[in-house]
Amino acid sequence: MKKIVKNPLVILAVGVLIVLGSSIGATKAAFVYKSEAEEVDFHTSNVSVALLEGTDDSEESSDMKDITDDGILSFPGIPTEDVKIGNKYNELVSIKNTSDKYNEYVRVTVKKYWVTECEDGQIAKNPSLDPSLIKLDIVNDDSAKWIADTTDRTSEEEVYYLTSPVASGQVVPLIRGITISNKVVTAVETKAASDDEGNTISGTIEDYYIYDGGSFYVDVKVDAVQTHNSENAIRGAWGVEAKCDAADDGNIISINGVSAR
Amino acid sequence: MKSRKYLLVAAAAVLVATASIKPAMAYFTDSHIAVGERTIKLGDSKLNPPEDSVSNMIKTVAITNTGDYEVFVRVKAIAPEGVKVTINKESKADWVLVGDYYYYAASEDVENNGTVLPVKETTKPLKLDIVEPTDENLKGQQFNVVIVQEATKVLYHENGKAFADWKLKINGEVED
Repeated sequence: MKKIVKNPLVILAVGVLIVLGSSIGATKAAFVYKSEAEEVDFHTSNVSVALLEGTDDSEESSDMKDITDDGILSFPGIPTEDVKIGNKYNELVSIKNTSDKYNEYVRVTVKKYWVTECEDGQIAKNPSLDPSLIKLDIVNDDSAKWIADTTDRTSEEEVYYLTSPVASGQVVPLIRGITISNKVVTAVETKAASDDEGNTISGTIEDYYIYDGGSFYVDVKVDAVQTHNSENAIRGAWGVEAKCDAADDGNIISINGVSAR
Repeated sequence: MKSRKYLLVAAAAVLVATASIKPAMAYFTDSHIAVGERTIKLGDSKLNPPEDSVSNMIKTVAITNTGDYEVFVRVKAIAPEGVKVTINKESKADWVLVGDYYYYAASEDVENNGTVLPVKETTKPLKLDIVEPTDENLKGQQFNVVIVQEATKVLYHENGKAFADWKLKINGEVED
């Protein structure tokens, strides 16, 4: 016993063990605490965007409602019964940067199409009806400069890019109105007439409005991406080639070769 | 023993590489979608047979819109030879004779000043004075005055002003 105590090496080894053991415990506790703190931090800083819809976007009005969570455009300015053909209805759609500190680039994909009842009673999209008769008034003035990517458009779907970054909290108008073109009343199909029991009346024809009972649908999809490392971020997130006038936070000069000017 | 060492080094290198790629791909993004719809009604406009009656050689006509959308209406009176049909002064405020038709309109500009006939409503009565033939050969014979009614859907300019297109041709062009 005396011999062991007297050996300084043994005492050193025991000392080192004690110190090591205590320090490991301490770092473990600190580590757990730190990782929780980091997780909370991560969620608060992000890029986010919202869709607003209403009939009046003047500053004193609170008519513009956030429809981001519902995902439903309710067309508050358009009556549910008897939509007037040719009339321009008040339908305002805007986007808002809802992130708490970041600027962001925003693009919207606007899709419009007709849905009718098929012969078997199913409600389905009808690609034979012309989507260009659903006319949307897209803003393109001093309040917002949206440019259409003409390399990637169909009569049904168009993609619009906002050329300048949207600041945190900023609201940018997108759609100002919806009109159903008067041309829908000129599209008719001629069929042989039939009486109330369904028998064909020979020598008599009847005209049917092709758009009668059709429903027009409008889809608005909004995408936002960070403004840092802008060209790479836009390519990585949206798959389009953008040219910007600055590496971070600049204005978009062109999209897929389409000039913004 | 040596190969295991290399394996370890390789595994470490892969770990480091994947760890460095990930942050470059994670751009901050956000995306939302919203959908809306409305149904339009065209169909054939429906009018009930005109309510008409004759008393004291005045024929009275009123038309009811039985369809499911607003229309403009006009009426044509077809009378046999020698019989004169003229609009009664009581109806002149509501009906206008342009060409062969009596239009339910406020002025002769029937395209822009037509009176909209809402669903399930009836027009103000159109009174027509009927003058019997004066010709000796036709006098005293029985005759009919036939009423033909027509309707056209109310169309709108972008500013919301209603207009009627009586010349609307099927599959033809129409003002937008």
